[in-house]
Amino acid sequence: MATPLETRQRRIFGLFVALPLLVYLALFIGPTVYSIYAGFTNWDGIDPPRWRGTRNYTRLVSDPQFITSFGNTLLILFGVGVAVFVLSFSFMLILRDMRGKGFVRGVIFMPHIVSPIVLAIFWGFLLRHDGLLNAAIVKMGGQPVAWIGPKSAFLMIMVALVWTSTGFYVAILMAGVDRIPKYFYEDAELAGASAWQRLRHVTLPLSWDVVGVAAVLWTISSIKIFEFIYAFGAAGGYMPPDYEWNTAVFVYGVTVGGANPLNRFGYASASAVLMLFLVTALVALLRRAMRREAVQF
Amino acid sequence: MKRVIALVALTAAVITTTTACGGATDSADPGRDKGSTEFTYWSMWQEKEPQAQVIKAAADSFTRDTGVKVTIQWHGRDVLKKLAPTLRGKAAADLVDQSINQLGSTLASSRRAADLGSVYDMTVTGEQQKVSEVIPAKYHPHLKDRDGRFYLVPYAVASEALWFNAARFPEFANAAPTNWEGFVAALDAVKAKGIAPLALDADNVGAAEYWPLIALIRAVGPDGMRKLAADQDGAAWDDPRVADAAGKLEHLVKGGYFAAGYDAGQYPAQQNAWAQGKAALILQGSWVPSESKSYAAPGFSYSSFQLPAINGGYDGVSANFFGFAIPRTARHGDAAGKFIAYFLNKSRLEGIATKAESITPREDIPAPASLESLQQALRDGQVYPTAAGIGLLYGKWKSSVLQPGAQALMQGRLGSQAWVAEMKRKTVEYWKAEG
Repeated sequence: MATPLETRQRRIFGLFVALPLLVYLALFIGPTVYSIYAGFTNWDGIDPPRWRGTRNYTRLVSDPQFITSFGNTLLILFGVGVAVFVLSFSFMLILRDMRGKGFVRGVIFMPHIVSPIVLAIFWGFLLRHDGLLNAAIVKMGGQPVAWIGPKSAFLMIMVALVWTSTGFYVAILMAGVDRIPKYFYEDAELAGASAWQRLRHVTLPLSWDVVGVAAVLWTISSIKIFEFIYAFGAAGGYMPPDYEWNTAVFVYGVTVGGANPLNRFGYASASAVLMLFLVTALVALLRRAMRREAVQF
Repeated sequence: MKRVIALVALTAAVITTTTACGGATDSADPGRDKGSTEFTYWSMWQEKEPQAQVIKAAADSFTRDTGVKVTIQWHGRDVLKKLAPTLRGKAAADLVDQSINQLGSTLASSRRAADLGSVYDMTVTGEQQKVSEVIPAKYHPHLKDRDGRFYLVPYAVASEALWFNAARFPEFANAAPTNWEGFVAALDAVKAKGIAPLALDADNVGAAEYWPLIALIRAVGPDGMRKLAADQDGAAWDDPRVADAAGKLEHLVKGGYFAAGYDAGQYPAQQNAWAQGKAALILQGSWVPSESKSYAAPGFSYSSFQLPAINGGYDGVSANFFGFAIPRTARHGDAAGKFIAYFLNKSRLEGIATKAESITPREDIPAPASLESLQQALRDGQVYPTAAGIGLLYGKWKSSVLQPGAQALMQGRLGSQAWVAEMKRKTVEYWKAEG
């Protein structure tokens, strides 16, 4: 027999859960399910969707712009991802024993606070042919470099993404590492462990769950990157050049990006669904690969 | 990704709500006087822009003269994106304005635009002439939808040209090159003086596209350009005139005619450098004078000439229109139609030239000095619709095949032969996939 207090608590619990659940269903689950449906249709957002079967998907895999965008998305996910994690680990190791690490961490974290649009504009000022970097090179007697020419522009975007993302992951990893008690390291040092061995046998196992979470966060957020690329490449009302597109920019391009016919929401949904499945699969794989016995300390 | 999905969903939600209000099928005939005492205008301009001020002043005096109340919403360039979800029911606006490409794709191509034939038959308020008489007849075919009905009344005409500083290069103002060979010779003469002949922001898809697009039209004409776009078996791309035009562009790219860094900059860096005198010519739209004037070298005198025909090919002038349309499901289309006839009155339309620094369709309104040369070209030459109309007819091909291809050619990533082969292959593949 539940006490009146328990009954009341249960009722309040139900109310507290029901409201957010409703909002979540209406604004997130519903639209996601609808996009899966829309991916099989031809839909301009005005007329009712017309069934198209799997033709959006077969069209996608032969669409050169989608293939470029997809390749670029993978380059960000894996290329930028690896660079961010190598850098974050390095910073973490250097900063761990450094004095004034709070300040340095703040400096590295800075770009994460600034709007990606501001950063993209700054990146352009820095790298374009008449930009700051080339001005400096010319001043020192060199020749200007085509930093953001058609072959190098995407590489420069990737470098910028490393720069803007690293601080965030340094912060997360350091929070994980900071709670490892000092005496483990003292003990390892007394036993004659090298820096690499300390990382391998103390730091990594004891911060493994944090690394896993960071990897999942990167996987999800890297596929959504949009603002930086758009602000960096779009000009005069036109989309960025298509060698700079990732799939998020692609979705924008075929819907409201200005190309005729506008609003190919069915096609865009198909591409969004494809990416959703990719993220889901990758996250599931990551979780499996990163699964370890949690170490208690 | 989630944001995109949410955006899609939000649109879906908006649409379901608006369609629930009932799918209206009756169409607005601006010619049938319903005695409307008000109408709503959604504008492509922001309130502070000069165009907005000209239209606002006309709307105020329209209300004073006729008693018809005008509700204006300044939406900016995305006006039609915002209008689109309302088009299934009664349109949220009775009058909208945008470029012909935008109005064509959002309204006309899906038959959501009102037939403006009756507006063209109206007498311009305060004048003797009809709307169809003040809008030159040579524009008429380009202002109609595929059923042959007018859907747009322009108040501004834009175009493309090679722009230069007449104070510094009087030779172009006195005798502009009339054929390609003469053009290249003129570029060589500029180069010999140590000045970069051409500026181009090749990162800007639109600017990069102008060169191949206009060169191909110069070689095969607007009809030929449409055939290239719609080429299902690749035969049109085998035309030797296509290879020739591409070769001529490759010569410019490889020959160092474009200013240093043109392929590694950010729009409008080259345009501004050109305005400062670092390059002689720029192939751009007629908005260049007003866009670049704050960067222009002292004494800069804007003038222009047309990219010359290739081997005696086509030398027409492109016309890109900005103007009014009325959604088919507008409530007060009659009042909106009257306003159009009112606005086209010379004294009111003049503001578009004097304050907004644009060319108006009326030939009796002189263009601002910087656009005089272009207005003359439009008046004297043959006129073809901007991009030979492929933006409206084959928009998806234009954005997914032509634009990336144009950039590859102009950035020197592909030589002309490889380019033609690639364009042919992609066009055939495109049409196979489109079915």
